[in-house]
Amino acid sequence: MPNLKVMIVEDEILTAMSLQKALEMQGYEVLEPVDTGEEAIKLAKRERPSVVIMDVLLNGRMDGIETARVLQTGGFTRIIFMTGYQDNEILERTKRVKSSLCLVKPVGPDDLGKALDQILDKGKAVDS
Amino acid sequence: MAQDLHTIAVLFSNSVDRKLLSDFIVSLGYRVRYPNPDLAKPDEWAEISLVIMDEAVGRRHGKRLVEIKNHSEIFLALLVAVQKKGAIAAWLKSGFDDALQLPLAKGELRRRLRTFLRIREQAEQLANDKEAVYRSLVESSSDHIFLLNREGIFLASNKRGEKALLNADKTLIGSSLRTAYCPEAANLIYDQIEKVFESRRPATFEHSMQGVDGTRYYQVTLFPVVRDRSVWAIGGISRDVTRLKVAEDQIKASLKEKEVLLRELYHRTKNNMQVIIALLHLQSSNIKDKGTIDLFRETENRIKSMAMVHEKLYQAKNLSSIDLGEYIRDLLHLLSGSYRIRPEVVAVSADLDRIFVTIDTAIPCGLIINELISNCLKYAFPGNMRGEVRVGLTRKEGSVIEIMVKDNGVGLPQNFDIDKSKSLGLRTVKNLTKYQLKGELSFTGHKGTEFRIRFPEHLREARVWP
Repeated sequence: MPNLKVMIVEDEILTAMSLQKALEMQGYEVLEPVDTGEEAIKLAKRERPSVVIMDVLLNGRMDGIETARVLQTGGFTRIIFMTGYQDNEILERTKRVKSSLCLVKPVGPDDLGKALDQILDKGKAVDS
Repeated sequence: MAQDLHTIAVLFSNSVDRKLLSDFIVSLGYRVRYPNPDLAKPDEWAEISLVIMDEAVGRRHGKRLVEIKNHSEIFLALLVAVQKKGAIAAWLKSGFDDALQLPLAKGELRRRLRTFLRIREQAEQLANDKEAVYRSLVESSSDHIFLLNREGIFLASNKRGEKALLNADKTLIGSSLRTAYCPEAANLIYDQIEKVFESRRPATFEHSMQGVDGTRYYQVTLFPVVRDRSVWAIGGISRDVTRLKVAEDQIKASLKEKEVLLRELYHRTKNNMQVIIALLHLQSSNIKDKGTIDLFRETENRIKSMAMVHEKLYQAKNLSSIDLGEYIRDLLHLLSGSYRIRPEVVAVSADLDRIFVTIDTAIPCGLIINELISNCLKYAFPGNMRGEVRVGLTRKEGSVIEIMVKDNGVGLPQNFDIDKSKSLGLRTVKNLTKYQLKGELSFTGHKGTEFRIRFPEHLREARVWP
């Protein structure tokens, strides 16, 4: 899926760099990772990514789920959440976000590739 | 003198000894009787303060005498004279108050008689003024001790308890529960009164009330007071358990805090392992050599299998053990994905018992399964050979766990010797089984490969309590 713009919002920079590299190798255009919801909103307005890969827990005042809602009101719809906590409450909250998927960490390049295919593939975006 | 009042029963089988002992007792100023334990009537025993007998009589009448003592309204001392010191403990256990070794020393005997007769005198005084003694016991208690009728009116109540627990200025006798307790506590006690009346069984419960210095907690026991076979009142004891309750709450809070910290520790350990995996990804992303890429992938999988244990522990209710079967299932899923296994080509199936193990067992098991499955997926089915991998986890007799990994692929090379194998994976399997699981490894390499690992279930106890 070349030339699609992807934004990574992740507060663990090495994990963000690893995902960025893996996605670039798969042909995606990946923006420089950001680690807070506030920065994600600014960057999204400027760069208008097709998909946002969003850690649930972030630095700053907003968590990933709140940030995703704000992004969606601005018209950015596709979100792939990542969470280290396989926690029912978190999973339920992510399900309430439209056009989203949730992956439990560790997220490898293959998992991410499959999730991107799923969320982008011909309108098969997951609407919950 | 009090001793003039005492009558001592002398039960000795030897008439000479009996005579000598009786003369000595009389010389101390006491009366002597020779009742037959089988025949003597209750009023004959009532006048006796102390029984002294020898072992031969005791063997015939010991049990009967203990029975008489237990039914006696006033303390009746039982003394036995024994031939050997070793017999003393058994007599004391059987219900006798003291045992003396023969031959009896006069000074020692005089001292023992006086000790037990003094106890008898105090018991007699108590019997003569029982009510005053019990009243003093109740009144001096800092617990609130009371009697209630079915309508919740106090019929009796100790002043010290009233003051200490309910801060009452005047007696509660004649007043209702509602004057002493807040509405919630009073309602609770009313409910319990009804229950005790109906069930005729005691009930213990806790309630709280607002005091001048904050919330106070009370433990109340209500019990039926039966007269003429029917419950005519409810007795109760209320105790202030605020200090205990506060301490209990502090312990619970501290335990909760430790749980949160432990959970966080598992989570951070897993996160750190993820960062290591991310670093390996970054490092390997520019590598073109397939052999080197494979090495990175194998290392990543090993770290992932360990990280997964921490993830499971983080999710575990008791924070100390995980379901090994569930963990192996997740691991198989991870490895199938990592090696891009197509189920129509190599079918991976599992038959896993639900067995809970601690981290000491889970980590080596995870690494072993990681190596064995990786080996299967890499070498057992060359080309596009179709095949099957089966994994089993079973609890065997004698608290032994068995892990089985089997494939129907090409099998092991002829004359394969695991001790000489250069494969890091198989040497890891061998050493983890032997040193960390304290188990045994067996395998066959004909018509596919089959590895079996057996190890004791309770590794942790074995390590902590050698």
